[in-house]
Amino acid sequence: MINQHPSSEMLEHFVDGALPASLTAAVSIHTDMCPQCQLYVEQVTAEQAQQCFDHNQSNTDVQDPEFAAIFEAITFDDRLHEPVESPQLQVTLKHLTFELPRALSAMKIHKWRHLGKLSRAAIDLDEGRLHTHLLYIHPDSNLPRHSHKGFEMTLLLQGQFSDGINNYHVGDFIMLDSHHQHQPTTLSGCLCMTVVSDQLQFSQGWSKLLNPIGQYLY
Amino acid sequence: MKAIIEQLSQDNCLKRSATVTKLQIDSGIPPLENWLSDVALLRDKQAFSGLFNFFAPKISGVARQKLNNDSQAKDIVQQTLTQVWHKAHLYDADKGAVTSWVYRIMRNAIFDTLRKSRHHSEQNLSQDLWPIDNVADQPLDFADHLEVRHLGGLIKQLPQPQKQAVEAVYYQQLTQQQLAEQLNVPLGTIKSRLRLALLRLKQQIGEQHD
Repeated sequence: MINQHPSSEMLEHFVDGALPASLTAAVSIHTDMCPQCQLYVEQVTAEQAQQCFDHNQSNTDVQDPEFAAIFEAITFDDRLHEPVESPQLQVTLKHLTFELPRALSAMKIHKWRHLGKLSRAAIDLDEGRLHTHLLYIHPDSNLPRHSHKGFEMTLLLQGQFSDGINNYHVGDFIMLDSHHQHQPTTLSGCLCMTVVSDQLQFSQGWSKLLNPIGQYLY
Repeated sequence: MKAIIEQLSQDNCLKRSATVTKLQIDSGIPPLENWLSDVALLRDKQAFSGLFNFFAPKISGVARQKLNNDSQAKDIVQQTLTQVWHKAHLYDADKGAVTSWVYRIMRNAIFDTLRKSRHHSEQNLSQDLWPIDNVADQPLDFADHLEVRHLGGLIKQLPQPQKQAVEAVYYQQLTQQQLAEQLNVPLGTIKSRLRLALLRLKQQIGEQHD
């Protein structure tokens, strides 16, 4: 049962296309599994669509001379296109094979690196100070207690873990900021997607895009 | 058989354009869904120009605001409406209004364009992040929308690939995957043939009730 959800602000930014790809992927995976967030996303999409495509709104550039050429270019080819479906992406870690969610299927995933009972594979999205990983915590182990300088988003993809505060299940979207300290423990082993930032993030680079999120993360 | 379908289509167009004019005078609301189904079934450029004239200036405005670049904004108009033209038959009214569907296509195009210019990334991720193409797997809801006693005759009038798909999946109880394997075509092709068939059947049942 999913208990941890993205905030409604985050879902709105998701619909708007304003989140970085890493967080967009995490929200996408979560909403695929969570009917409640899915419904909210659909409602927000309908509202934003209505705002963009208000039929009462006057069209100042209807007469754009380039539109005729665009219309011709589009309708020149008469065929209907078939749906495109991405192939399922699998990753293997020693004897384990994981099928990854669709949202990650075009992403470049680096080799696993191992540190004790923790294995980590970077997902290469080139997002500056946002770092995205697949994280596998091996069965019957825990991570050292840690806190976060910026924020840490964890999306549980497989298995379960607990952190002394809650038990988490597949689909849980867990957002922690610098005020949190936690010590994840797992009996069964678990696979997560994580997106971690550091403090400098909101003053540089992504700031323009992330400031609305920063406001409620901090 | 082709002649019958063409005749049906023509009658339908005439009837519809009369309705459209009245609707537009009454409320000012453009008949986006009708236009889209005419684009899907008839490759009707007139109907597409209705959609184009409605959406192009608005998409251009939104894209210019987000990208701050006129020529990229034109690209977004072209990318978005190209998909509307080629994928009209994949629109599913059960999943939301036409405006929501076009919004998703536009948002995805803008997202990929922004990523390209900010991260020099050539990957198009949007289709995986917000899939638009994934046609529902569950059986199309014939029972809800269509009256079974009319079906036999109408199915015979479908274009061959659509007729074959409907007969295999609904009468011979093949799964869509099995049929795709038998015909050696991608699963998406079967889904899209079934969607087109349903769209056409719905339209024809609608006419019989008019």
